[in-house]
Amino acid sequence: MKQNVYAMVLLMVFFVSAFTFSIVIETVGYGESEHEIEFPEALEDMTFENMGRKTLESVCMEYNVSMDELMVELELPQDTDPQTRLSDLSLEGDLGDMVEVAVIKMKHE
Amino acid sequence: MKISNRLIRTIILTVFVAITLSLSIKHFAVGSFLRPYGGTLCHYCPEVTLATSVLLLNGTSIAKVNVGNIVALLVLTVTTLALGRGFCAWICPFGAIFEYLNIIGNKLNIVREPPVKTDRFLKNLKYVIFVGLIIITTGLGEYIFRDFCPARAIYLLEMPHGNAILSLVILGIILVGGIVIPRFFCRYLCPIGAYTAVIAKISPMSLKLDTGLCIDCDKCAKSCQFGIDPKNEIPKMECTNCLDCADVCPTGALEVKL
Repeated sequence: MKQNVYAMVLLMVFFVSAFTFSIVIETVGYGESEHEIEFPEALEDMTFENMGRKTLESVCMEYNVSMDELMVELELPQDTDPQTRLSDLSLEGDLGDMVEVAVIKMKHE
Repeated sequence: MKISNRLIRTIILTVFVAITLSLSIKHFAVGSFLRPYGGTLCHYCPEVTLATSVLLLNGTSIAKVNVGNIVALLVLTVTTLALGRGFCAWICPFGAIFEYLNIIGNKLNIVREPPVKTDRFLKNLKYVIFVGLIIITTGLGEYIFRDFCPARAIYLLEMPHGNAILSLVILGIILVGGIVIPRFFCRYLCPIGAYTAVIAKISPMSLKLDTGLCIDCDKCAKSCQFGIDPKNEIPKMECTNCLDCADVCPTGALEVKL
């Protein structure tokens, strides 16, 4: 096999297998797990509006972050009720900005 | 004008470097026009899956192991099984850095090959690192090496903090080594290289020398970035099928075959 043919075949196998495995795993799934495994999402598609009405639990579900880590980032006690609305918590500053910074930091790691 | 295999390979590697950088820019830059999946290099690194493999196979999932990591390992395995260690030479975005460093080293005329025995001894180090990462990750229950990874240090586009500073020091040492010794990291330290080496051993495709055509000019040995002399036995575990040797061979004696 000549160099250029080898390169073309290699790249074709690479991209076809990447596409195939992505589709298969998305369709078939990967079993149950304690930590949800999924494709990483782009941060730019997230919005952080009307945070006051949301609870801690809904924030975790919407942005797919861990409750424990969110509590740490927002400097809340670990025994805080997840059903508490953000507007009822003693957080100083713009809630949207605070949650955005916390989520980006958690996705960042 | 004939375009060399080395130039084509460098261009292809640069495309993968650009894709990897775009992932980082896309992940961190709000409003970016780039539209691949989200995440950074870390979310598509097969080493994460390799190091956490024992835990994953035991049903323990690890925080921050993504589907992208698992798909990357499957793709790497299939590609290597089918075509040998071509991933290392033609696709790996971190290996590409060492192609560029080799160009710099050649321009400065400071590229050196270590003695054969030293080279052979050091090439075993990557297997030790590979196994060590699995053992330590299994023991600790989390992938702590993310913070020390030199590939992450170069591709994450963030200011270093905490352990990331140590990863920059490691990266600095590796990059200096990469200027002097071709593919320094790939030869001696890369755990993904160790994995592909083991898989490549059972791959049906490998580089072969036609001794009837060989004229002993030694151009192939001088062109090899992995310190292999194709006139001797070509080790399937170390040869990455970069085909630079085939490109410089005046008689076409080198070819990848079943």
